[in-house]
Amino acid sequence: MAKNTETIEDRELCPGIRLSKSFYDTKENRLLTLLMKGFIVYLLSMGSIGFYLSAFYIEYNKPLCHIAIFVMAMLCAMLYYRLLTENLGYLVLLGVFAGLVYMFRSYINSGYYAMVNITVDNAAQYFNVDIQRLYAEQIENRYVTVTFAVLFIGIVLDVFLNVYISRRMQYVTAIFVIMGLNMVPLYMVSEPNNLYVIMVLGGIALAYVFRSGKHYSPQVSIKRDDIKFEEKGRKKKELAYVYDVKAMVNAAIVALAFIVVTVPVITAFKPKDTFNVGYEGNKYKELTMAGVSTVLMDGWAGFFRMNHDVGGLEGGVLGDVSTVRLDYQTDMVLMLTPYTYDRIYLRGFVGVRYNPYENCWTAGSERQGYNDTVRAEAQSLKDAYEDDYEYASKATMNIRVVEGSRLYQPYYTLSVDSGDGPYVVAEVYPRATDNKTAVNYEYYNSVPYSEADLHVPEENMEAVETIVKELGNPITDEDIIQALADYYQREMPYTISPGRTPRGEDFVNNFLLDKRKGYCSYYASAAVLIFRYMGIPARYVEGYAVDYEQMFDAEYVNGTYYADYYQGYSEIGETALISVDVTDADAHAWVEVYDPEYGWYPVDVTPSATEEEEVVDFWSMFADIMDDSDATSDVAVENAFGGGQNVNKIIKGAAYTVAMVFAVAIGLFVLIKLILWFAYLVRVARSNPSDKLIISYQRRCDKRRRRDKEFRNKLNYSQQIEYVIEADTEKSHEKVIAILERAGFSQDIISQEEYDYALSWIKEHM
Amino acid sequence: MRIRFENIFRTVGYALLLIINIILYWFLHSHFHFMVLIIMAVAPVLSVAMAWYISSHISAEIIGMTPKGEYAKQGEECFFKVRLDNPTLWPSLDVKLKLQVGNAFFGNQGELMVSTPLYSRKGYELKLPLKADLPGRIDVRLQEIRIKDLMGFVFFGKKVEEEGEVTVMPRLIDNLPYEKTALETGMLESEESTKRGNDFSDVQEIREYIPGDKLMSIHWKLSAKRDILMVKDRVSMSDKQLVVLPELCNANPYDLNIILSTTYTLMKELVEDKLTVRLMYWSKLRYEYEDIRIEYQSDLDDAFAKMFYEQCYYDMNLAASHMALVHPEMKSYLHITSEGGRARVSIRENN
Repeated sequence: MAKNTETIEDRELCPGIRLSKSFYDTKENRLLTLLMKGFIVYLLSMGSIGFYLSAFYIEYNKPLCHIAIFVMAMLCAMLYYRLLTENLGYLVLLGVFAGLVYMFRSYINSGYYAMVNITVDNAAQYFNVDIQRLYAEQIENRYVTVTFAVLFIGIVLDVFLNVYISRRMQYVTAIFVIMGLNMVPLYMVSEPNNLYVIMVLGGIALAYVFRSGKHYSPQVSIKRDDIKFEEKGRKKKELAYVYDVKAMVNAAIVALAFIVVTVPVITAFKPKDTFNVGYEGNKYKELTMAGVSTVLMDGWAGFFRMNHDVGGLEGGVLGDVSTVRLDYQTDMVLMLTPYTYDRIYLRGFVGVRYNPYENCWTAGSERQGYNDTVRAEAQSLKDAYEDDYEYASKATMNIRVVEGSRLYQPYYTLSVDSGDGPYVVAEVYPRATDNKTAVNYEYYNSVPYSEADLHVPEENMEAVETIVKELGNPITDEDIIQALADYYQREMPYTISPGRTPRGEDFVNNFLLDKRKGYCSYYASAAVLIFRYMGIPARYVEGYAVDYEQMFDAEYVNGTYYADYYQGYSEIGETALISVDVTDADAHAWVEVYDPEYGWYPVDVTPSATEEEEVVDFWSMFADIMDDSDATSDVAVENAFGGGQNVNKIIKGAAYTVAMVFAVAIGLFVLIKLILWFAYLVRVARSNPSDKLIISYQRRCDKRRRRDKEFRNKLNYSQQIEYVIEADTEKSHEKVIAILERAGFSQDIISQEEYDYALSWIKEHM
Repeated sequence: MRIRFENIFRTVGYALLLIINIILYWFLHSHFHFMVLIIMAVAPVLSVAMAWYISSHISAEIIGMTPKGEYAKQGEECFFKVRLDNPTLWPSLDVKLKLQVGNAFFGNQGELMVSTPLYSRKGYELKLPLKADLPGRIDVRLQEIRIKDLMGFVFFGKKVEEEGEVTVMPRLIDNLPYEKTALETGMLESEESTKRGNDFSDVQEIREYIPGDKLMSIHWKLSAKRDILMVKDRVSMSDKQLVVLPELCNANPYDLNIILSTTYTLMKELVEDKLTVRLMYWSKLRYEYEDIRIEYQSDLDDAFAKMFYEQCYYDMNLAASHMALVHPEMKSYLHITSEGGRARVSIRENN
């Protein structure tokens, strides 16, 4: 017996006795069964989320989340009501979901980050470590953002678990899905609320019981016009009921009652609070704590990260990064007293010699006397400070590098003291804009620059000359620098996704002649060679650039005195000591050029990024695809909820999303119809007149059935034809019926004339 | 009551999950895993205990039903209701019913395993619509009920002996292939028998004499008592009474089917013609002839229903061969056999 109601036949039980096929006709209530499955999905989805959040005492709008996730679980389960709803439903669901996610992505992102941050806070407490690296939450109201994130995760879980539960009751997969992350709070001895324990265990228990009962769902191949019984077993000997909602409800009540009673009883006998009293811990768990701590703090990448995130900069190695991906986590902590409105550059790597085709810079520190040059500059400024020069100053900065081992120093650092603590203390003599102190390179017998600082490799000469020609004829160093900066801004847009430099090509040549876009290290590398070509000693520098605006978000360091950290001239007056978190977003590459009087100073020719290039995370990338506006999407959303001006853009974006989904759905529908129509034409073309007539007739009958309820009850040719020609007085229909019956039931092939006659009649009347 | 594992892999899988949880509990020492451990340890015990409890309280009943009248008709549906009564609070998602379905008259039998749910406090009612292609006595026997526990570890098997039956009358044949002349010959024989004084008729009532009544009808004793002529008003059926003798030979079920259908149709037509007939058949169980007089349709159905409790034999001439010895007075009768897949109705005479 095929598993289709249309082909079910009587089953012979023994010679002379058959089980009538009407045995299979009994129908079961599919709707209630699906809702039952939806309930299991809800228990698992909401239970697992609540499990995690309650373990960490994270607050959110619980009623809203319960209702929304419950409704969504029911909707997901209902998708299996018909094949059509299953196929189209997921598509529509995806579209609507994507639209909503797009609209609320800032909230979801922030909520997700809030949950991660709270987890990391708990982890920091549990592992007793000091953690500086937290995700930046764009929206501060955690109650709201976590609610959005819970809704998002809950709906995703609903959809995902529905696939495993509604069809196969795959409770093992469900356990892995829902308990995977929930091991985190359990590892950190944070126990969840019993309500969510009951939900999780109840959901698993129901799935387990139904799976064990084996009667929970029709096979996928069974037509959705339900049958109550099906043949099972290796030899199809057993007749088994497919599913029975009343039995499922009975079993569900027993399973749930067991969990609902057991959990509180166990808790009453063995309360959570005192459960670990006297427990000395597991030494094997302690062995894993370092590893788990790394995973929780840095993610899995923490195990594999060979080069830390420095905004796509890798110590002078060029062209290997296709897209800069930022984690916005703290790479360095800088304690200083703000003294300038300008950027503060912290050098980490200085490249002197460019190696064409190897696509890297050789570090300046490898050159003999380089460090003396640097110290000579700082010493000159120190002399001016000690001579009480009006614009001279002395700063003490504490620097703690979180990521990596490279030492980062501000310009004009005379000395660094590693000390005992995590911070190194740098003695810096800043050069304020008005500080015209000349550098005395006689200190330390240093040489200000060498031939290497003017060297342009032969391989790059052609590319450099091409650009230089386009710069016009600037005369002074300032003009040249400005001309190049303007050219970059005008002709070579900034991007964080320039793509890798093709294998076998030179980084600078490829950038200047082909790619013509890139991020800071592209502009700086090319600029160094261009400046050198035009006679200006120049070097390539990587490090961090800290803007004045970042100081606003910094934390004040209490219990310190301004005078201990800064003396002398300050552009912004006396300030407090602050601690600035420097992230990989602050990583930068720039050029330093030599001025005969003032020595080496930083020059930044990297063009400013267009706003579209702020795309760094998944949601923003998604938004970038969907929205062609030039506003950054995150800002747009925030404004929208403040009644701002970007509401229209959000609505427009959401409308585009929904419209696109519907367009795709309609396109698919039309395509399927076209394929079916084509298949029909092929079938007709290959058939003899009898088959052709029956095919055409069935097609018209199908159409008629859809629009005419009564016609559905007409079961044979006579009834159908007589129904449609009640007013026919010529009795021509009798001839048509005769032709149809011959075409449909006899071996004779009808003639072409009969075919034409019957078909024209059918077309006319049906 | 027997217990058996439903699926050893399920048990092993559960044990693996339990072991994983034990390891997690040992490793994390979390209250959650402690609860899971207790639940995982207790749940199977409860589940099995529930199934055992159900199996010790469950009862069953089978009822044979026909859509219309007392007997079903060959080729049409009849029904068997298997009622499971579960007085306990506990349900089961898988109760297997081991059923034997057969036609006792033909000696055909087959097994059927049906899996049903079992509701708490109620049980379940399974309706089996059966179609009989052969006439006879359809019986459905419930031999065993197996109750699976909710967690799917074990089955508890309970032996039961419940039975239901439905009698299926033979199918009527449209154009009965018998020779009228043969039948008429049989009637003549019957008339001759009557003339010889063998009166098979019955007294319907006793009434006063009416001029024209036969003298042999006068009830002399009663007339003497009452001083008025009384006559026995006979239903003179003896001149229409026929003996039909089908051979219940099951050498080939289809031949027997034809014999039964022919016999049934023939007798039905005769009864509809207001003729009284006698159905005789050889009872293998009692080793003698059953002789049933048929006046009405219901007599005919009852006679067949009774006949279906008999046992078939394999000799196509067995009933006729005993006739001369057991009923020497029987001069002639209609003998119904089958030959080459077709019924044969013939007048047999005792020599």
